[in-house]
Amino acid sequence: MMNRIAIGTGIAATVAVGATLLLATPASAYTYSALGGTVTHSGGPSASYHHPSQQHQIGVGTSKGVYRSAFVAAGKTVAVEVTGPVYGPFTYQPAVR
Amino acid sequence: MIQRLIAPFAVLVLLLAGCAASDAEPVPSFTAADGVVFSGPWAKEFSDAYREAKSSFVKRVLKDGKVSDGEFAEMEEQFRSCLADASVGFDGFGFGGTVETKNLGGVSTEGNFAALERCSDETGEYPISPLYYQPKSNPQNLDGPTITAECFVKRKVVPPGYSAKDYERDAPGSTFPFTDEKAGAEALEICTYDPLGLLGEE
Repeated sequence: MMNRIAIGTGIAATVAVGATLLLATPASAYTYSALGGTVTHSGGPSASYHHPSQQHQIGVGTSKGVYRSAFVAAGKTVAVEVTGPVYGPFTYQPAVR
Repeated sequence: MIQRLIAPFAVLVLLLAGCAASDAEPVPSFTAADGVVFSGPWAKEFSDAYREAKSSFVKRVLKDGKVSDGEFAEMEEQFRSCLADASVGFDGFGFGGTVETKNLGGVSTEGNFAALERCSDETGEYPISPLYYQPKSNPQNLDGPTITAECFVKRKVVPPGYSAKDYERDAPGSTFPFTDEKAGAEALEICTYDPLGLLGEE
């Protein structure tokens, strides 16, 4: 479960499966868009996405790549959480199906 | 006289028979537009996805009401190939169907996001991936908020007694009352993708 995967090549960017990013430079920008659901932001570089009626997911993009959650069923909340300094700017991209 | 005695008894027997029949769990069954019948706990999801599928590959995969390991691997390879053509690196699906990709060959993060969406559509990653993982993690298609709340309680990240109603109240704003933030974040991921602990990736 807690295997780590590198984002990018030869950088200190890792993702704990669980959508926790451990990157190397402070983020400078966050952008969010909610496609009919609710994207929450608790003041740090983390986000969750909830949609009441459709399958949905959320991705986080850094300068090195993208981590995308799995699809989850309607009514569930899916979260990505960035911990520590990060490569930025980075973006969150929610999606519904 | 005998008829008068038998009639109420017959009615009682019929009523009891009706009760017995209604106690049995009905097996959901849905018929797609071209007559393909789906049955079982995930019948509606498969039927909906089959009806909406435009690709013959996706229709073939979904037609028997399940996604086999081989079919999933076939889609995964197509997804990998599609992303590679767009200079996006992908090493296979993670826990519950998560995806991690790398920007290769000068592709931008925006280009990466766009390739992910396009390749998901072109290869059938959606709906194949969720219809592979979700039935595996919840074979009886039990109520999501209920089993997720139970998973939180089992992991001791919320007070005992935390219920489906509590989850439904907290989920839209992600205001779960986790007693420990780090353990809560981990539980949120595990309980979202694998509430019953059936994926075996923990």
